[in-house]
Amino acid sequence: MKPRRALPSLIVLAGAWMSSSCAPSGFANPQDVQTVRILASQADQPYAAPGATVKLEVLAYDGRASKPEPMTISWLPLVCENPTNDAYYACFQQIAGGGQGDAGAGADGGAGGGAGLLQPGVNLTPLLPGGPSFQFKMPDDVVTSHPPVPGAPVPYGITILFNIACAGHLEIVPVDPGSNNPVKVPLGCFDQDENQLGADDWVLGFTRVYAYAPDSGVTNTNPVIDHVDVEGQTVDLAQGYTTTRCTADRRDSCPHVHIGPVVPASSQEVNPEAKDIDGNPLHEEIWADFYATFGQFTDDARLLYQASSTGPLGSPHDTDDQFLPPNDPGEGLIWIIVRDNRGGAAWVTVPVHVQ
Amino acid sequence: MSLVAAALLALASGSARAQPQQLTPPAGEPPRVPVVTMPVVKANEGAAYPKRALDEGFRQPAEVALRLEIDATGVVTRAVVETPVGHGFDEAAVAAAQKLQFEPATRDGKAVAARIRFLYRFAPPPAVLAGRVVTLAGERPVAGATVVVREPGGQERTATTGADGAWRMADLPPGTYHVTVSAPGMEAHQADESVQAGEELSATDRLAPPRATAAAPGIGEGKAEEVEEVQVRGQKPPREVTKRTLEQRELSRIPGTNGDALRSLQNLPGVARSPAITGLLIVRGSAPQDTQYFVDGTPVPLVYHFGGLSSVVPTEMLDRIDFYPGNFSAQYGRAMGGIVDVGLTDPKKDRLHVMAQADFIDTRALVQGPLFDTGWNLAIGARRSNLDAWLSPIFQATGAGVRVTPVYYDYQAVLERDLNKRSSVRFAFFGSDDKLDVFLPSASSGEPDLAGTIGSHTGFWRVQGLYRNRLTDDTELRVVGAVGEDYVEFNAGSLFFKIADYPITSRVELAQKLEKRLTMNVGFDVYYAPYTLSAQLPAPPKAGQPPSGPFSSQPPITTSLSDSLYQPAFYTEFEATPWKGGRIVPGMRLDYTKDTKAWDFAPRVVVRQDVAEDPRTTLKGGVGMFAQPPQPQETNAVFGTPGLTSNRSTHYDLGVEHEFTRHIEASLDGFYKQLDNLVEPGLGNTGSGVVYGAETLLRYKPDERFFGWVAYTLSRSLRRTQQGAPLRTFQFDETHILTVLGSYRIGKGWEFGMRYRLTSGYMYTPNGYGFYDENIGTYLPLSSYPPNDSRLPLFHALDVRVDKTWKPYWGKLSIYLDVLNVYNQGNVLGYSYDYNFTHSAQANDLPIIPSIGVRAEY
Repeated sequence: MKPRRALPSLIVLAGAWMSSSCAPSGFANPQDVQTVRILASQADQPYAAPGATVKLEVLAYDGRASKPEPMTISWLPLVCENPTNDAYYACFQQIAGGGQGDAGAGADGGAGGGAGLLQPGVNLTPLLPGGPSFQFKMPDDVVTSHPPVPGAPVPYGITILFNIACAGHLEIVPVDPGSNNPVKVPLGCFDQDENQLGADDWVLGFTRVYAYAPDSGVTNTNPVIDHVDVEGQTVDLAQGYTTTRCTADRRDSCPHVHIGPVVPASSQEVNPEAKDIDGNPLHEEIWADFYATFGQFTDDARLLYQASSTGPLGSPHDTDDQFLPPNDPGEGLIWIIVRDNRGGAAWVTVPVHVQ
Repeated sequence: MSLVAAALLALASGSARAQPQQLTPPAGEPPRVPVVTMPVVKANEGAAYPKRALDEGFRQPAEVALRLEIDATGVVTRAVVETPVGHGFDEAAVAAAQKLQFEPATRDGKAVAARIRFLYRFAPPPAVLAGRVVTLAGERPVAGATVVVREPGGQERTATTGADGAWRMADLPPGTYHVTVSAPGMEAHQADESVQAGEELSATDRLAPPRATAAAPGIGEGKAEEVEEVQVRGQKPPREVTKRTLEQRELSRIPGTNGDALRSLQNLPGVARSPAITGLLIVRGSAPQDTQYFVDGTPVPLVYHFGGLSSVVPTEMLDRIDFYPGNFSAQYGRAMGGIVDVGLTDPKKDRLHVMAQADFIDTRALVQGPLFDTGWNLAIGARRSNLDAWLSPIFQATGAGVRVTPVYYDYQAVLERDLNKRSSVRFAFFGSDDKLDVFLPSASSGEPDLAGTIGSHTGFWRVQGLYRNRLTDDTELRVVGAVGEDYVEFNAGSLFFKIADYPITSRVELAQKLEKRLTMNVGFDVYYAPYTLSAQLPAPPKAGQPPSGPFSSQPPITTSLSDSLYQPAFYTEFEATPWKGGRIVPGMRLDYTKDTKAWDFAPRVVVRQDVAEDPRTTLKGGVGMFAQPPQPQETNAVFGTPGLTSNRSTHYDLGVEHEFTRHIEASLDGFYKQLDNLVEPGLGNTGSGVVYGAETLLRYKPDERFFGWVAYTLSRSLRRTQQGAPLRTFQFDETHILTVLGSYRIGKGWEFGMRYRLTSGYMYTPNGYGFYDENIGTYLPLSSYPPNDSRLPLFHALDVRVDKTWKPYWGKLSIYLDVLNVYNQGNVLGYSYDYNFTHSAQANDLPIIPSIGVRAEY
């Protein structure tokens, strides 16, 4: 139908091309946690009902070698409800206008309030809810107030929440009034000398929590990590895993330790919102991300379950990652974060002792 | 030219003026009957077929009846036309009659005045075929060449060229003649020539040495030199302002194209360099989807296999490629960029021909020849890619973590027969299929849905019938119809897109010569395609808006429907040559689109004027309106925007062409395109824009040794998404495009070619540190705004091709080496970013890529 047919192939081929040898080397390794990082967040109800109280947990870590100021975790005390086009950046218009929704308080307390009332130069950190946990009430009208989406199998609503990991304190950052860019970052992380800190010292994260009416039949639970296997043996997460340092001259020659989460097939739920190309029901896609404070993984992530089939993708050896221990002995951490493609998440932390 | 003075006469009423009164016989005597004789022609110089009639294109027999008054001395004193005929016949008859001399009429032996009726019959003059025979190289006259002219009835007449290579054959009835020109040591040349009454048609035939071997001047040691057949005949000026036609040798020998004819289009002026591995055709700053592709007038959905590595019709199956970068004829519609119309070759008729070729890219074969003694001729070709044999191991060896199995193939079959001297019929079956399966075991790209098994399947096929009939010397009918299927399937994770349509297309065009200087083309062109569409994708962002996040982070929306596209069109075009060297082609097209329930009216006019003959210099210009209906997905209730109408564009074109010699020509074209009513996702027909620039081409057309050209385009393409928004540089803008290429036959079967390209970089959008998407586990960039506001560095690359050909007894064997990016320039394709967009590095375009191929022909 008209000469506009090459695009799908081009996307696939271009993706393969860009992920191949033409990608430049020398970049920092995303799995290498050496800075202030947010790694994941988890909602106890990835798909929540209107009016439900949702508890959020964020996994953040300060991997800096030098820590002039400690990292703190803050939450914007605003529930961004159904932003335009469901776009996270559209929330900043709500924030600038004082926000909406019914925000609760963080585990460490802190005052709620509209960021639109605040001015640049004011230390926001004491005013914001802090800590790794946050809970909020899903607005009652979140589904009904969402503009109808043609083609959406089931009506839904969306809330977006923001958290910040900052090795300093937070302030409002003036936005260039001449800029039409719809994507703006209205916050910044500053040190004691009012220097704005960079990417190594702060992260602005957000998480989406979808809402469906209870009678829609659409639910989602977080995936479950049954245990972690290292070279086929279950690891005691309290004790951690002990290995020897790599003495090889080349990283490729280091021992390759197979490591991976064991996620039961029951975690792969049917995705009632999606069908395959032939109309058959699809399942969740589940994958695992790997992070470490030292050493190196051969893959940043491994696919555990794909949408078009049920059951894991082959044996654990097919889905395990491979960890290359560091050259120096020491103590470190490995994080394995398992996500599904509907907002579900779970993680484990594995202490690693390198001798 | 001859006058036939028909029998004269009917005695005028009252017969003779000399009859003074009614005579009454005396009573008792029988009445006496007077003896009367009529005037008899003594001298008749005849009347020539009037030049005015020929000038006005009137070439039919004519009769003029005169009433003559002849005095008693036999002199015509008055000539009056009974019924005027026009076209100069009346004047010619009167003038001729006044020179007539008669023996006067008599009554009883006495000369008397008389009045008679006299009829002139004019027969159209016979036609003349003439020409000149010269050598292809150097255009030296060929004396003693034999010219055989076969008449429609089969009779043959022969002429021999003189010392100046000229020949002439007069007194031919109007009709179509088969002309064969042969000379010792030269390849015979045949052509059909149509000549009308009173017309003298002159053609220059250039003879090449025989295809087998011929001693090439300047090649030492008397070694045989391969010379490929190249026929160049005078061509009718195009109906368009700019029409680029590449010749056979250019199609297959341009370095960097791997001998692929359609890829050679990317070297013409006005065509931007395609981004690597895309194969997109970007014409005069238009979006790729604004250019339409046709095979012999039948629209096809794509022209390149994935990656743009090769086209869907191999060079061997092509007869011609016509490329119109803008201001194209009214016969083409539903597009506002450019037009590519390729013609499938007619099968060879003399004997069986076999060709096979293999290289890293693909393997192909072609068989053609007469189909026994049935009168039908058949060509069958097929091609399959070889990429799967080596691409997957490379990806694995480089640790890319993907396993790919890309396979494409295409096929063509042509069955052709001449029904008679004036008509022929041809059936063709052709198609293409691209299948790509990628398995990505890692999900780290930030798009988890683009992991695991990702599939893409794209293709089309057509069964086409083509009927051509020259109904009369002035009327030609061309009918082409096709049925087929187009399909696209794409799936990744929980996302998919699937569309299948079954187009039925037809074009009927009647060309009628109304007068010598005026031809009318009238056509009906219909596109009807029932289709099914199903998709499960994230909601597309609105025009100018960044995406809401990774695809995988959004609930997919779905659509599934069956509908049909119905797009009929009528067009008419006049080709007028009102004065010498001038050509005016006004036309109009009326398109209906069922999706939008709207008509689009598109008037166009093209003017060409030769301002010098030898060497030829032509001024040309045109203005026209073009409409392009929205895509089905754009009007789709779920993914599209309701209430859309067609995109519109107005093309303005002004240029000059100059032929320095038979082989060297240059052209300069200035163009301006106004774009309106452009479809913007989520907004409607709110977009607009302009494209302007100039194209230059200095070209050496192929001779037996060399071909090449220098093409340079300077242009600017700007867009705005809605009224009031500022004009922004368009994503596909390339300000400077310079291409220099040439290919030279060294001798002993060796040919060496080079291509150098220097172009502006693509537009791109810089990214910076932004946000962390905790649902997906990926950083999202803070992108600069507006999108595509920065330009990549200049691109430059040198490509080289070397061919070596042998002529064994059974046919021809050749090997070639086509090396892309010889000096391995690290051209910037874009920028890659680290995981949090704080660092970037260049992602380079294709490195040096050699391709070796073998080709055998029987």
